[in-house]
Amino acid sequence: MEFKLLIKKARKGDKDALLQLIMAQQADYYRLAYVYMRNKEDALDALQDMIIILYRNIFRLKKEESFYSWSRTILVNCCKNKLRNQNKNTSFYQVEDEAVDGVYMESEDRIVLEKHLSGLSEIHREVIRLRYFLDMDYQTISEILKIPVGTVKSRLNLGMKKLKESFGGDIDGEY
Amino acid sequence: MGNIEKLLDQEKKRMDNLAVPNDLEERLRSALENTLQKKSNFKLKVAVAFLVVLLLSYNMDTLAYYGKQLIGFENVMTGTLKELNEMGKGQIINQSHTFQNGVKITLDGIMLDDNNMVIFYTIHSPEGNVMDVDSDLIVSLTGFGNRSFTFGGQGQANKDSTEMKWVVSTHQTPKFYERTLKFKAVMKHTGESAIISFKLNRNQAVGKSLKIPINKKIDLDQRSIILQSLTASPITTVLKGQIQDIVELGFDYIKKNRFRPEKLEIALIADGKEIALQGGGMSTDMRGIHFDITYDALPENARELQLKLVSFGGDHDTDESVKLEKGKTKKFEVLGQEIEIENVYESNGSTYITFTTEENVILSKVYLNIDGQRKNLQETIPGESEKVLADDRTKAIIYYTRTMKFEGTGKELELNIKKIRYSQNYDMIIWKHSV
Repeated sequence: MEFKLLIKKARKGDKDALLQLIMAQQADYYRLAYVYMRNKEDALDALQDMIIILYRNIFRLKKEESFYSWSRTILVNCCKNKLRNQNKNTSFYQVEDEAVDGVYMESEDRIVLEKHLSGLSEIHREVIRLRYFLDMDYQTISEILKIPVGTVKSRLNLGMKKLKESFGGDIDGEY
Repeated sequence: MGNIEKLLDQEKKRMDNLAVPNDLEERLRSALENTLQKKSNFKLKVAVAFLVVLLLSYNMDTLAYYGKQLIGFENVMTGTLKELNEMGKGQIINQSHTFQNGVKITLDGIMLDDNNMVIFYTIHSPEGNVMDVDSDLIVSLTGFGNRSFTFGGQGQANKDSTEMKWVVSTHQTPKFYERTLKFKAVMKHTGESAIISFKLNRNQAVGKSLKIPINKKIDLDQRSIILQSLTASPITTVLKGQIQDIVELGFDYIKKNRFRPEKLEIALIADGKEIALQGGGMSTDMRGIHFDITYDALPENARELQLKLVSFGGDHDTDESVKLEKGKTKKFEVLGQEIEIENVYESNGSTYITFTTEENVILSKVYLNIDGQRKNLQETIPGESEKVLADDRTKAIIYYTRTMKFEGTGKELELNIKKIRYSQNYDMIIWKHSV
C-alpha cells in the first residue's frame, strides 16, 4: 500500500516520495550502477543523473508496479551514457594477450578478470556482469535491458564462450 | 568450479559486500533540489514530428542528387569519412548475399587511399536479432593469392535490431596488382559462407597522400621511442614508429629486464587543435616492436603539426625486495611508482598485506618470502578506490587500496616484486613540423 501511495505522490511532484522509493532499494540501485561504472564516484554520479530523469518523467510511467524495472532501465542508460563520454577520450589499444606467458598466474585476480571482460563487446560484458555479479535471473535482465529472454540467454552463452576463449584453454586448472 | 567461474563468484561476493555510501541519500537529494517536473506537451510533439517529416522530404532531393552516397552510415562514420561521403567519393559496390535463414549481408561500398581501405557493409536480419547474428558472423577480406587484410571498425544497429551498419578500415592497402578482392562472411554456427568478389576501380579511389618522414628518436626515462613517419591522406593520418628493435629486445631478455609495452598515447595537433584519434595497434615480430596510430585526416590548410606524447606504459620486469614488519606501514618506490603498505597482519594461518598505489599500477608478479620460503600470491581482496585532486589541482588521481593474501605466517617477511605494470604520463611535445 505504502508503495502505491509513494508512487502517487512522486507523480504529483513530491521529491521526498521519489527519494524514499529509491532509498528503499538503495543497495540494488547502487550495485547496479557500480557494476557498470566500477567506482564509487561515477556510480553516485550516474544515480544522480537517474533520479533527475525519473523525477522529470515519472508522469509517463503507465503501470505503477513496473516502477522498479523502469527506473533500473533508466539507470543502466545513464551509466552507458557516462561510459560513452568517458570512452571518447581514451585510446583503443588492444592489450596483447599475455596468458601464454603465465603472467596471470600470480597477478591480481580481479584486475585480470576486468581486463578479459573489457575485451568483450559491451552487449556480452553487461549480461555477464548482471547475471554473475548481481545474480539477476534472465527475466530481470530482459526487463532492464529491454531485450527478449532468448537474446539474454544467447548473449550470455556467447559472452561466456568468448570469455573462456580469452582466458585461453591452456591456463585452465593452473590458476 | 572452473577458474573463470571462481573469479566471477569472487566478484559476486565482493558485490554482495559492497557497502552503500553514506552520502547516497544526500547526493540524490541535492540532485533533485533544482529539478523541475516536466509536463507532457502533446501539441509540441506533433509540431516537432511534422517538422521532422518536412525536413526529411526536403532533404530527399539533395540525397538523390548525390547518387553515389552511402546512405545510412552517418552514425558510424568519423568526421573525415563523413565529408568524403558527402562529396560522393568512393566506389559503390552494392552486392548482397542472402543466407538460408534469411539473413542478408550487403557490401555497400569502399573508399581507398595510401593508408587504408574503408569498407562499408550492412547486415540485415528480419528476425530482429541483428547483434547476435553479427557476433555469429566472421567477416574477412582477401586479395591476390588469398592474402588477407586485417581490419577494425565500428558498427551500429538500428532500433528494432533488424539492420546493422558497419564501417571498417583495413590496416593494409591493396597492392597495385590486386584488382579483384573477395569479401567473405562465414556463419559460425552453420558454417555457411557468403563470398562477394569485386573489382577495385582506382579512378574512383580517393585522392593522393603526403608522407612526411620523421625518423626521430625520443629518449624517455627507461625506453626510447622512434617516430618513423606521418602519412596524411584524405581519409586518415597515420603515425608509424618503433618502440624496440630486435637488438634491444634481445638485450632485455638476457638482462631479465623485459618490457612489454601496452599503452602508448600520442596526440596529433594541427595548428593548435587536436586531431581526433581513430585507433591504433602494436605488433612484435622479428624486427622488434612497431606501432601505428591512426587519426582523422588533417584539415586542408594545416600549417603547424605537432606530436604530443601523452602517456606510455606497460609491464616491466624488475626484482625488488622489501622487508616488511607486521603491523607497520611502509612507503617505497619501484621503478618510480609509489607503493604504500598500509597494514601487514596474520589471520587463520595466512599473511595479509594491505597496500595502496595509483590505480594504473598493478603488481603483475609478486611473491612473499616468509622466513626464507617463497610463497605465491593466493588472491587479492579488492578494496576501495579514492579520487584525490592532484597538487596542482588540474586533475584527479585515483588511488586504489587492496589486500594480498599469502599462505603461511612467519617472522621474517620480504615482499618480492618481479613484474610491475604502470603507465607514465608525459604530456610533452616530441615533434614539430611546418608544412
